Amino acid sequence: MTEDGGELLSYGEVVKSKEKDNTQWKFREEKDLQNARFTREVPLKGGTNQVIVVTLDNGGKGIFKPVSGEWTQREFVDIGTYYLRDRAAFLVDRTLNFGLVPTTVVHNAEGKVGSLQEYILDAKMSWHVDQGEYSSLLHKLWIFDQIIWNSDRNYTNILYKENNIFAIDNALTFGPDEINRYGNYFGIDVSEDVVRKIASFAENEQKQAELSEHLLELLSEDEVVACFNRIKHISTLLQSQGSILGEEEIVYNPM
Amino acid sequence: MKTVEIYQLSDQGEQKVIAVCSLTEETVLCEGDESFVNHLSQNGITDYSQTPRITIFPDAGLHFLEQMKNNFSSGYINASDILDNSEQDEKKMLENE
Repeated sequence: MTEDGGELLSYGEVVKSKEKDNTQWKFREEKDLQNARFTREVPLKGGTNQVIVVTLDNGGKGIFKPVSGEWTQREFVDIGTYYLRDRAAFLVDRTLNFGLVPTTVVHNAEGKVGSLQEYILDAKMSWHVDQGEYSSLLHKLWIFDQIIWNSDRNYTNILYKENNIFAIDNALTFGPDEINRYGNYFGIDVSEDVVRKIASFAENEQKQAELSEHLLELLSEDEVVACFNRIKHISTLLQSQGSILGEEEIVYNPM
Repeated sequence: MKTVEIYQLSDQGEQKVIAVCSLTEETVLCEGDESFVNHLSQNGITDYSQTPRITIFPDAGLHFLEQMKNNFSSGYINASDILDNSEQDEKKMLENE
């Protein structure tokens, strides 16, 4: 048992919070982030929206994106919702057990609300690595980006570290915006592990109900329904043909 | 001269300029971290103003500079607004004359 009476969980396993805030799932690794206080805030130069590097009172660091710093409007993704989408992407990632998105929570720092994401130390950018060594993980990320309908993925929001990749900057997702059709994995078989993980979710109504309940606090009902339909659609495709064959198979809401 | 600065975040949480991209006549020239500059010229950036999205390269000139901020905005790597140093350039030229 943990201090707050919750179950001690294995990585990626989910329980509902027994604390007063029942709006978020509690993964063991996210509790530290959510409960942390900021001891130092450094607003960063550049970029389209405000990003603040924060030092936490537990000694860690985080990337904080306040809702008040969401400045750049996209056609179908409203300002004021980006931080919620960052969190939603994390929940989908963890529920599918993909392990791509750094721990991301909605954080309220003395009235300043935004998304707070674990800071990946010693991360490398794409120009510092041989991307061929990460092709399987990048393929998994490509599938993930279809699921969360990411309109913003490019090589600058993927971090590389010790044979892993991390998908950061997941705010422009889930809305019926123009998806960023990067990469070309059409007709290339997806790993069995990824196929199994997606199928495991697509066939588990309880998992779907739990994720749905929490996503509905972050996204519109239409966006959640479309996301679930994409997961089921992609699962069907991957189980029957092993890959996504062409752009025509990528649809915002396939049902 | 119109330029864009690229900032990379260190593990200490500080930003460092790793490259500066400048508009020279009709193309963009970038100087700085060699692997970054090479990667940028080979892979280009996404043009978010187009539907569907396309990849553009430094020979897109001013449009390339304009799109850099939309591409480099994760916090770990950010691009500045377009900085116009025309007045400073003129002053320097006058001082040198």
